[in-house]
Amino acid sequence: MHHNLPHPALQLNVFYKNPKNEKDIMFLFLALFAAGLGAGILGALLGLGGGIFLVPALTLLFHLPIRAAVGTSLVGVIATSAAVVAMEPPGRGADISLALRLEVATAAGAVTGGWMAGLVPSAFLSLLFALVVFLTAGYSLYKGFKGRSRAGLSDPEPLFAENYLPCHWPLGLTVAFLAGLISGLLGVGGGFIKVPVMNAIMAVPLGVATATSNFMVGITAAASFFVYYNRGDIYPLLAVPTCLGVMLGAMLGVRLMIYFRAAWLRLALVALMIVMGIHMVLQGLGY
Amino acid sequence: MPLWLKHVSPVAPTRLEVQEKKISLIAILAAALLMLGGLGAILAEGAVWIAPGPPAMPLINLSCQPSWGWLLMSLGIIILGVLPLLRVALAVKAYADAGAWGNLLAALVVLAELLLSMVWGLEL
Repeated sequence: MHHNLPHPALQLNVFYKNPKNEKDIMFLFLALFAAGLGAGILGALLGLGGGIFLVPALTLLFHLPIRAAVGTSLVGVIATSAAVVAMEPPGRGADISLALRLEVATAAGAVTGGWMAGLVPSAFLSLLFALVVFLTAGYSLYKGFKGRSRAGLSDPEPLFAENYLPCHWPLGLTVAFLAGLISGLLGVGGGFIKVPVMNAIMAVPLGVATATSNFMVGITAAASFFVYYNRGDIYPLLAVPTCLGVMLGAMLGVRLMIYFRAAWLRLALVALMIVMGIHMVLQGLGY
Repeated sequence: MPLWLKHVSPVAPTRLEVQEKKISLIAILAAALLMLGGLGAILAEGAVWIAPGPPAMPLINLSCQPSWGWLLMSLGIIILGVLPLLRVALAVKAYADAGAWGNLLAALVVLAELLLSMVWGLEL
């Protein structure tokens, strides 16, 4: 029995051309599983949903149309969030109260972003996205250097702390709304904005910010999930192996987190943000 | 600072955290089993597929899947999609029980936003 593509334009052209036999299909599944595994590990370590890695991987490596990549990514983000919440050790979990208060703005942004999709010029959005990312990366670096000069290298910043008080709520809520807006438009969870905002602006310990962001990104992705699902932009044969990889990767990432220091995670996050910012600038300028 | 913005540690956070972990673990295990089962069923059919295959069927047509394999995979994906709503609903119940009104208000607003997006998505 031979099943045809529903969309003639939807072809997978990178690892192989028009997979027609079981061996090709299995290779595709393994490749998607590997992409999901990597996205899940990085997502769990950095407090992201993984969409920021998955969407480029699915479009660049697998040559998926952007909407199919976004649909697959949304399912992966929800899976990452669920897996991290399920696996995180007691006392090192999300600040659910903080997550829900910020999610009021983020979910509103995601719904707005989903509605605005197609109205806003993508070039403008890319440049705005890059601006927010660079500003947040710069402030995260500033906070990191300030902390090191005050505490000394022998006193590493704790990833988790019991007594902290989030501050600068208006700014935090505003940026959370923007993160949701971007999520609804681009299919990412927005964690790469939420984590530095919570840590650098709202004074939340980095480990708590990471876990809280992981809790939030699943809710944010769910705000646009049903739109993509009913529009036919989620393909089970793509989403399922990716999701299985993401789940396993996220579980591994949670276990690996205890071996990392806050400074390393911050540097990795800042490096990622700079790379993504440059990518968005080039995209906005038409390159 | 408005009361609802004050960061109040939720009453019995450990209990809510444990409940969130349980429901997340149950959901991802169920989703993973359904997805694996569906994938296995499709491969066992012996059919030759040109990826990516058909898209997930709309919710109202869920029973019209080409085979059991597709139905199982779609159900696994739907479970993942519904899980965030369940997690927020769990938080609503916990905060209502504990009388943490600021947190309860936030959770109710988020739940309403998710339900709105779900209704909006189904109407497309």
